[in-house]
Amino acid sequence: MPSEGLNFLSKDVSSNSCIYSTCWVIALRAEAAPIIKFLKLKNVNTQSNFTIYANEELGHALIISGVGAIKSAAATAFLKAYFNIKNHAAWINLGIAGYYTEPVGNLYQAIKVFSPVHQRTFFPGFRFSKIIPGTSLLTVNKAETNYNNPVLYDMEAFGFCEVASAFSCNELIFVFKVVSDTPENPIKKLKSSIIEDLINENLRDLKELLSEINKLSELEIERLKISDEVIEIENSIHFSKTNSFKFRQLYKKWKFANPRKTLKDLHFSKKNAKEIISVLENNISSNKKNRDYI
Amino acid sequence: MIDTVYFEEEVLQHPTATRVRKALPKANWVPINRFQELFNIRNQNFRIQKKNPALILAKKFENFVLPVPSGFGMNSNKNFYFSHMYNCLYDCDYCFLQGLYSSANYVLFVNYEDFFEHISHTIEKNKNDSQMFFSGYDCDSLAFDKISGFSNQLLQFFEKYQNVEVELRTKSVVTKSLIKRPAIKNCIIAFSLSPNKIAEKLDNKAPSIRRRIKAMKDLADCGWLIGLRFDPLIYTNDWKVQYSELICEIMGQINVSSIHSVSYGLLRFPKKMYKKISNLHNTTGLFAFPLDINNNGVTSYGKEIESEMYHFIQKELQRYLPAKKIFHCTG
Repeated sequence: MPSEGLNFLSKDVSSNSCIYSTCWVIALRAEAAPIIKFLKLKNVNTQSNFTIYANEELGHALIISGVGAIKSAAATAFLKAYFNIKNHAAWINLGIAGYYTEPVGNLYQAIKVFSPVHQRTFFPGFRFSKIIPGTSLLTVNKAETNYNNPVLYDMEAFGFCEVASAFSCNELIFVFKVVSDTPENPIKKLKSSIIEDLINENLRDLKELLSEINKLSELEIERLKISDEVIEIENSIHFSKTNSFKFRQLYKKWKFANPRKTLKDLHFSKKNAKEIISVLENNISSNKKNRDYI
Repeated sequence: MIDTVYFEEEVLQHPTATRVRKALPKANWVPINRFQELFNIRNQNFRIQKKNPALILAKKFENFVLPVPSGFGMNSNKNFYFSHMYNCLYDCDYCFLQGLYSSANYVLFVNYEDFFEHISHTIEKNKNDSQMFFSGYDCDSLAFDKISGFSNQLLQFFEKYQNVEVELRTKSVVTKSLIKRPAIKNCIIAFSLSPNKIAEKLDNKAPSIRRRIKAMKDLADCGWLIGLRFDPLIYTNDWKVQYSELICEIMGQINVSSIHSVSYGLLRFPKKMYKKISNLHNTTGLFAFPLDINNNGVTSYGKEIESEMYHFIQKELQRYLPAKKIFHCTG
């Protein structure tokens, strides 16, 4: 069971799903430390240069990427491959960023992420405007000191978005940034302890965001869920890709009409893909006019 | 309410954009280059996005007026449609827009004047034919009107073309702006309708049937011509009772002389669109029905149910209306 106080993050994850449904990609250890502590994440020995923390019970995994878009992209890909993260997972890039205006310490959701080098834009994430404001972000190659545009400046988000958006739907890719430096508070003054404090001071909002992200992720889990008995049959009989798709679609319809039955109740004789599909088709079609589908 | 407006920088000074800015003073305005960079992103989740769609303000450059799909029109020789907006405020389970677009964000094309110019050309080009124009194919014609102000400009335009008909199709009860002005005889306010029990389950975020009938009555009392659109017809185990009661209720409240036309069509999707939509609705009952695919690649209830529903609806409608006002939609 999840640790007390973190129950809001628990999910109903079926046995054929990966246990990690929220993945964090964070550049610096100082940015990650408050999250590691808050989510009670434990270090995972990966035998690689990447440092990963995870909490199986809560379904959270976190990788420390290092600074820069390329490192962020590589870390995102590594975490995905290391845990075989499924496509219902939410991906979060959290960190500090420069901003064109005061004050330091505010948390923003980046809803437009642009790379001047690549001349490309991402629009990541379901917007949580009721919790924190959304704004645009520029991913730059070196720390920004001029703050010429009315945007956030970071060094990772573009690389993260480029890779994470290939893994999960765009609405489950999130970029959250805490303002660490501004024209009046330049980046030179930043120390690890200050960075940790900046993240810590926003934990309340982050907790609220996680609760909402959890709900969205659950919707995806529910939509993409494949029943254990479907997996069991597909593992025991050969299904072509087309037949597998057909079988899964028919199964959902059959289950809607027969919520209390299992596939074993259908007593397949030959136990091949064609027969199973045909039995399901006939079963669904019989009596279809008398069922209430609304 | 809409929290974010993405705008093509080119349209920011357009009067429609100014109107939207006044209507949404608290929204976050974010500049973009072209609407497609946001609207056509790969791997979007329509269902999640639908929980909080953004508004995109854009300029349209082509395809202002298009011929309607075959089987969609009514009496006129030439039928056209135009879409000043993509996507709808409502969230009806059967809506084809969720299969047509990857995004649930609303796109509002601000250059209404270019639509009217192209409609004028089309009218001129087809002046020897009877013509009808349909609004509300890719959106609801009235639901966004408080923000967009489109219908008022549209009606001012069509007032000048009395021999050409225009249909505003809607589920909205935002009819104040229409009631305030004199009715235009070549404009039909067409309401999409389903029996109450079905609408309660499937027409998410849309006004109730009772309110839609009240809005129709108010408009009819002010001299507007009304269209009744039973499209899609939805099959349930007691559909006959439900549709019979709905038709009876409408006919009891709306004077037949105010009814311009009635059209009906069964639930139907192109095969690919059905696959996409049913994947979005994992557990919805509507998509648990074992639909048939015909030779033309259209997914529907199948011949037996179709025939039964068509004949029944036709017969019910003819109890109140002359056959010439009733149209069967297949497009």
